[in-house]
Amino acid sequence: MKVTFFADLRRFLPRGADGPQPYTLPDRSTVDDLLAVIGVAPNTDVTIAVDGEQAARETPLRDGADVMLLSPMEGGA
Amino acid sequence: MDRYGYWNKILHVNLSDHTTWIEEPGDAFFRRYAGGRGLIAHYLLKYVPKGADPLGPDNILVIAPGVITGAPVPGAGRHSVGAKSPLTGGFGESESGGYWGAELKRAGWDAIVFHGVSPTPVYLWINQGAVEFRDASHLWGKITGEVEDAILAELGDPLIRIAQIGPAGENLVRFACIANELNEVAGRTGMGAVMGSKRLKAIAVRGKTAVKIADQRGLLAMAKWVSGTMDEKHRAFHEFGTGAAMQGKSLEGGMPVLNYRRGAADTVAKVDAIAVRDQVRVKMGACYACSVRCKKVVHIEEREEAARAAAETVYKGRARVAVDPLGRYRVDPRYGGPEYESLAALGVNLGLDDLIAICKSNEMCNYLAMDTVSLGCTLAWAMECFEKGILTLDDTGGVPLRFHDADGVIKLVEMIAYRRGIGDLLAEGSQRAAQRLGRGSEAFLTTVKGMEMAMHDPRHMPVMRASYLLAPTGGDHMRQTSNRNGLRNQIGLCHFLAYEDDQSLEILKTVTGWDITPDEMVTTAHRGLTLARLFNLREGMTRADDRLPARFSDPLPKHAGLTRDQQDKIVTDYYVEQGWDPATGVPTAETIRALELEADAVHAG
Repeated sequence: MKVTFFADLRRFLPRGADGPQPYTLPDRSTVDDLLAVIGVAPNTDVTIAVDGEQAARETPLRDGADVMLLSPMEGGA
Repeated sequence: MDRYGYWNKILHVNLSDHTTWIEEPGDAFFRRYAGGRGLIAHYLLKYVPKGADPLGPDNILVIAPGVITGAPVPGAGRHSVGAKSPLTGGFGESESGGYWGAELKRAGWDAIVFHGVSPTPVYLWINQGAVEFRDASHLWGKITGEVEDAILAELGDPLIRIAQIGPAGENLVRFACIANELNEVAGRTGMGAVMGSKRLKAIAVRGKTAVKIADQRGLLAMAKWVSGTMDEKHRAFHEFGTGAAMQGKSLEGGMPVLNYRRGAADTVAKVDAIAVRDQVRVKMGACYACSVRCKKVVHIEEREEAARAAAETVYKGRARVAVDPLGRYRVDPRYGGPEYESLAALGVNLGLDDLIAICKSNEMCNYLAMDTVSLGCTLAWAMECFEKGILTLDDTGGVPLRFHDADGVIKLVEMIAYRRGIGDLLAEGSQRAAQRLGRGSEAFLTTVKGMEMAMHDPRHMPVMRASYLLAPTGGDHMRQTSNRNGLRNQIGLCHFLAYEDDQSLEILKTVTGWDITPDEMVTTAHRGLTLARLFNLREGMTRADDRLPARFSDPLPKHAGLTRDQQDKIVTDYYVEQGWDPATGVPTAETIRALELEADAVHAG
């Protein structure tokens, strides 16, 4: 699958990398599994989109899914 | 005694007779008010008579950095501007970054209080301790870039910093702003109109004396912490500035779209900060002493040849200059680039996905000096009125007010700044315009206390609800009602720096040498908020003004509307937290005593 990191979550990009990053996970993996692989702590406030739709942490991931990880916005940001 | 962080010098300027005097209010004064909002509210209560016309001679204009402004640490480049607001009729305050506030401190001044009205246009020239009134007749009517060039040439020092109004302020547009360094603005609550009403075109400042710091080594450690944790704490701001998370906001259904009626737009990615970086941005700019560098600078040319030439000569090949493929607009990098609020207010909320036109209207707002949020929301209100037939071509003099019309917005920006045609009505702000128009147009307002709400929907973001309901300035999104941000508005610390509260305390201590506790910091924030509340109550505001407009009772596709009961609970809880009467929001006698505001409260009756 392909993961795009937005705003503050770009700190999880591999050093020097930019743009969407490829990840491979076992069948029947969920968003939560993906976040664990990336290293996003369970209590991190993050908005997730899978194939353009807002998703929950337990949302299953299909092979080739397009995942976006977005920061929630605060005032002024 | 040794004095750090401030000079104990307030400059008073009487514009009516062109005299000045210096007030030295003493150390206890600075510890009590800390600068910014605290100082502004103190002087508004003291000098502005109850019921004064915000655009008349009895209003004052206060420019107040904080006690840490000018210290060499990231985030310390802020100053506040305050007056009775011509938009709300109550407490007016706005903050700006850049270098101007630090320059004022380096010139040896803690604040300026302007009284009266000058008989003719003037600008003030502050050169260290010397203060001079200078004729500004030749500058009146000019846009900000022309004025900056003229003053720098006249005074002969390129390091002078200038805060100024544009044509919008001269024309008393009620949401005119005050710009400094051309691309930083004290945008909200119409402070530019107050300055225009005083015929004060600009304030030029040159300072050469470093602000004294109590603990240089401690402060340097804090500055190093910011640069050392850039990736972890400030990466998005450093890379994009504001607006990099717009796609997330739209996905969650909380993006203001078509006058706050929809929570999402599938065109958001065309106009967010990522699109700005990839298409039109040439570099990032910074404020005084700040390593975060979160300020976008965009440059667009009308023709390919001009863009290529600029890329080679101005940027030495290090940046690509964008071209408007339709050859319509040039956008001058001197005026910076759009923040999130502008991308949303001048873009998505008006149904626009034309990034170049949005950058153009943002540039115009900077050189005409108007607040992009109030202007954008006023246009959104007018467009909904037009869509529903409440405003017609007969009313607008034949000018269509349509969503999705990027070139139409550009024309309207200028019409408003110069109060031409329908622009004259819209220059009053949406609430006054609705009161004048009637016909049910009040139903489409997005104002609190008369000021247009910023681009964060409270139906989507619970954290915004108290901010909009209870900010003393009205529809403000910066959560100035909280202790953290309330304090930052007083001491002069940027909200975008990710300092924890104990680090803010450390900065305050290292700069001033004060042995200040977390409890005293909270008290200082409460003091500023309570002073502003006293001013609003004196000017006739009541609990009924702590309410969201009807639009926000309607649901969004993904979020419920906010009920009266929900709003009432937030308001009452906040009153209790601040030590105000739970029913009326009037600060109690006990709170006034605890905050040591007895002398200020005398003026609040």
